[in-house]
Amino acid sequence: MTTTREDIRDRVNMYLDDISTLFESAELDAWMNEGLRRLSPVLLAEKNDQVEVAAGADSVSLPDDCVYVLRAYADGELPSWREHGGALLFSDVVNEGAATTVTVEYLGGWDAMAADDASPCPLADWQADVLVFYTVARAFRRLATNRADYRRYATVMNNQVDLEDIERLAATWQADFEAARLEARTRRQLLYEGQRVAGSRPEGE
Amino acid sequence: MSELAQVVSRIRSRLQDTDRSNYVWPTTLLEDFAGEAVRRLGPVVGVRKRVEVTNDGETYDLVTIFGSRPLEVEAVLIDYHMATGWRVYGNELLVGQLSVDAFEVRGVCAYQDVTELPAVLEDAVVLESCSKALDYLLRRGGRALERYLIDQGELEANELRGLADYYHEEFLAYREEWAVGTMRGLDT
Repeated sequence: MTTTREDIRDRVNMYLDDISTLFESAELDAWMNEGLRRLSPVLLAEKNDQVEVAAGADSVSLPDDCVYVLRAYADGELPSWREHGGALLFSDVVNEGAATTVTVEYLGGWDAMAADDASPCPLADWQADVLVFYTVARAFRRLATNRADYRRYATVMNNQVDLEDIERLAATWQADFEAARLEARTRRQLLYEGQRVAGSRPEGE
Repeated sequence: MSELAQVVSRIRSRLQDTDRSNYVWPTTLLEDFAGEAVRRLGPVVGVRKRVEVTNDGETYDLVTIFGSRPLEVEAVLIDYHMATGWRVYGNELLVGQLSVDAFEVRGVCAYQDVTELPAVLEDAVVLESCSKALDYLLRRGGRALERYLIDQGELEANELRGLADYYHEEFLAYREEWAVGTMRGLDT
């Protein structure tokens, strides 16, 4: 089973229930992607990319979304390297005579979900609810900050609702998101955090 | 193994929502809560799986191997011996060049569905589903909440909140209890 954008939107609509009609799908999708970005401070995506080091060069720019380099390797041996200011700096020229393709494994921000409903969410199934909680929190936050939306909400729900109640709901969902965000961390993520604090690198470098 | 209908029935029973002609919570909603509770087991407890993989390269997609993204890959075995030199990165298992026709991968996967659950974890899912159901009712408010509070013997909303919190705490305790040792996962 793989969680798709449609699955997440369906779960959001289940929680919003009667008031789901107050939100456009595009708006919910935008909040899901925002939720992915908000995940990055505690859980980064494992990514890789190839960068080309020019002949005679001893540095190369890293991908824009790179937060922390885990490994860098090429077909041949590479000089030792360190990461600084968005670049990979080698201790020596990589190859005097020809350009070298270097594969970089790194932790980076999450990519937005694909624009179609059927593509898989980049999170594992057990992690994906974090986006549901964030999206519902944002939906209630919007109701709480827009008087017109608030009146529509009160009409749909057919009961007397104080603005404070909606603000409280937004805060509750936000708290659910914060808790789920912390639980979404994998064992490897914790290992990476440990390496980062200790300043060590994975084996092989 | 659990059945979804049986789990929903247990949730209703615990919530005392048994009036078929006038349920407080629709069945589909309780099924969704049960599904969410199953996913909430993921950070702590999973199921161990062993899969035989045909050697046809150096890189393998873990979702293809296990059917879902594993919580952890524990070992790669060749002829019943632990292999070395493999690693996991992102959704891939990288094993390097192997000179065998097949190898075994062992890992811990999150539960996907209530039908996979052993009885001990079904209890945990029932508790969390009840917590989610009460929480939903409290967050939603309105006539459904009023009716439920009256039906439960003039309960106060804060008492219901206490019950929702209690069920959730119980779920967390069950979840920890069944996370076997440091390896996590239940053998099946």
